[in-house]
Amino acid sequence: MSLLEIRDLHISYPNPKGEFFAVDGVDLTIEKGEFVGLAGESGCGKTTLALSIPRLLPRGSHIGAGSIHFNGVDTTALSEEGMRALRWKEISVVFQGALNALNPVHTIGSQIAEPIRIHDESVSKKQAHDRTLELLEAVGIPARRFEDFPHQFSGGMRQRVMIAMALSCMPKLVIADEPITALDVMTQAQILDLLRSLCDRYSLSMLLISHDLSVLAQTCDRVAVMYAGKMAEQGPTSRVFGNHGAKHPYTQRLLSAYPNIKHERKFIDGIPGYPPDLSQEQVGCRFADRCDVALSRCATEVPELIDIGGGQSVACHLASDIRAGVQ
Amino acid sequence: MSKKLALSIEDLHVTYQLNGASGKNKVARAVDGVDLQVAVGETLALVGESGSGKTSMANAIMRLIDPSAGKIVIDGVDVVPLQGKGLRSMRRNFQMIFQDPFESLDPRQRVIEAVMEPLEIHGIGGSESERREMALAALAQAGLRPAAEIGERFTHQLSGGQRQRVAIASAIILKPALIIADEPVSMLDVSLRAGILRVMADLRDQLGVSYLFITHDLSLAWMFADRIAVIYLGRIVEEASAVDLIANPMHPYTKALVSVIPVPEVTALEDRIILTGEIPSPASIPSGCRFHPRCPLFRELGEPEQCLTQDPVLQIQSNAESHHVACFFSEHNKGNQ
Repeated sequence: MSLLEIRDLHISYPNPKGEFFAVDGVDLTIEKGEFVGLAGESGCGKTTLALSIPRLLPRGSHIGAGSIHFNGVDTTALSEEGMRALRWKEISVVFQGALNALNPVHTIGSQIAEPIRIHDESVSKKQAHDRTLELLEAVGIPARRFEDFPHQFSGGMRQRVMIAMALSCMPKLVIADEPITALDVMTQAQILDLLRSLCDRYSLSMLLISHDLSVLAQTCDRVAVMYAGKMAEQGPTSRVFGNHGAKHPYTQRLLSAYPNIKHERKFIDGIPGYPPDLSQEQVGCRFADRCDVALSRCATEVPELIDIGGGQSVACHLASDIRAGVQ
Repeated sequence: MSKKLALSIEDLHVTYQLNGASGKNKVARAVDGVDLQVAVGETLALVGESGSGKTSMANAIMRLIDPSAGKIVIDGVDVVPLQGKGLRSMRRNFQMIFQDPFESLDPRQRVIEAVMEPLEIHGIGGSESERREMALAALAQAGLRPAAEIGERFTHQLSGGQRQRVAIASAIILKPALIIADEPVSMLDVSLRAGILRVMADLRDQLGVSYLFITHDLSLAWMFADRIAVIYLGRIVEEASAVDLIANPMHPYTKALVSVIPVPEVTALEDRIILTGEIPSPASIPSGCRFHPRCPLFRELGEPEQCLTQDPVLQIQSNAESHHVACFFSEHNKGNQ
């Protein structure tokens, strides 16, 4: 049994035009101990999908069809109370923007210790304190900084505090929402290394959300790419970023939008056009308008996510050709 | 120097006086003696982490803050002593594209008004209709077509990419000698970046615009710029042609930065050099070489005395043309990439 199994999930938000279908029939599986990257551009639905797992979606959002099985239990059927028992103890989140997520008037030590005692009343103050010191060590913050306040920390160190908080109740799944977006390259490398080592050390499952595909290439076991509320492609990092290569035209175009210093210098490519308006009903493949290899059926038929072997799956009408070895 | 320079910076210093309990009478040396030159039609990328002083450099060049010492020569004129009217009339010669196109435009302004505004301020273009023509041409050059239609929209109705194009149009309309672009694409989605950079590159090729391209992204700098200067704690530590700097980094800091550049493919993680700690405060710059507390080479060589006591200057490397490095032991980094 997989730790997390999302099937055909639909999530919508109300908007002035009616409804906005942010996530429109998405599957995602995460195994125990697996490090999965979720990529896509702003508005593709990646954060909505991820935050639906601990059910931390904004007010008004609606989970329609589909299921989210966590550890065998369908969480979409759980009451708010049942969900609360899962949050932080089983599923925790490292939020984007560490400065805003921390309380400026409490020491970082007390903020890490707080969830430990809230989620387990049998834990004594002393135990929570000791556990906090362990966590600080695990994320690379010296113990002497226990009594320091968030403003005394740099961006990278605050993100470490956020990670320590997310680990405080020993969850099985950690969702990291753009944890390195505002950080410098060297700090990004430090934080990604830390996440990877924590994942291995505690057999955690990790869902790392990033708009930056190149960052995921070096950290994740598997990567999932979303486009306009749908899963475009997913597969093992070694395949999607390796010799085998990405097979969805969107993933391919996205990859060529990054400079690659390992190759000859050339100007990066863009993707002309814009994603579709998700408050309108969608016909055919959502990427068809921007796709330079689109077939006539792409305008009318929705491509299913098809397994093309090696654990890689692609939602593209050309995928069956890929599987048959035509390409 | 034979080639014509759009920008020449000589021994620039920017300092901030710190107040408050922990920093009483302390001075932060954000830019601590920088020399830089940008030739006409050239793009120089200034690359550094946050806290490296790159934004202070940009603000000083734009004369948004006063440097504490040094010269900033733009198109042959030192702009540091300029004040008031003299500075204002000189300003048309250097323009800036800011990072955040959501903050840099007035949402109540129509696009065409935003682009015409610099012309009005500088009294360029004989009549309203002439200015309008110029603004429409600038919009089209920035890739906003049909310009007449987009010009009538309000800036808040545009997407991030379109707004950045409006910012570009307002920057080029005065035909400046130098454009300072401060992280012009870092707020935009990856699929839009190429379009913006392409417009900037076309302007360089067609109009001979010179850029000081400020970024934390070394791979983008490599792709877009002719030369790269790496800044660390207020000082340039390495400068070379973009291709040479990435292929053959010689300063231990640059070497580490290059090693952690994310690439969209599977790579060997063992080759990365991850520096520990963070960039120190410009209010307490380490003695000797300012990079020594984080320098892997310093440790590898058994902590040489020289690194602790002497401040290395940016020097040309013997066997590499116009490759400058500020490190006593950069020879050790040669060839063992």
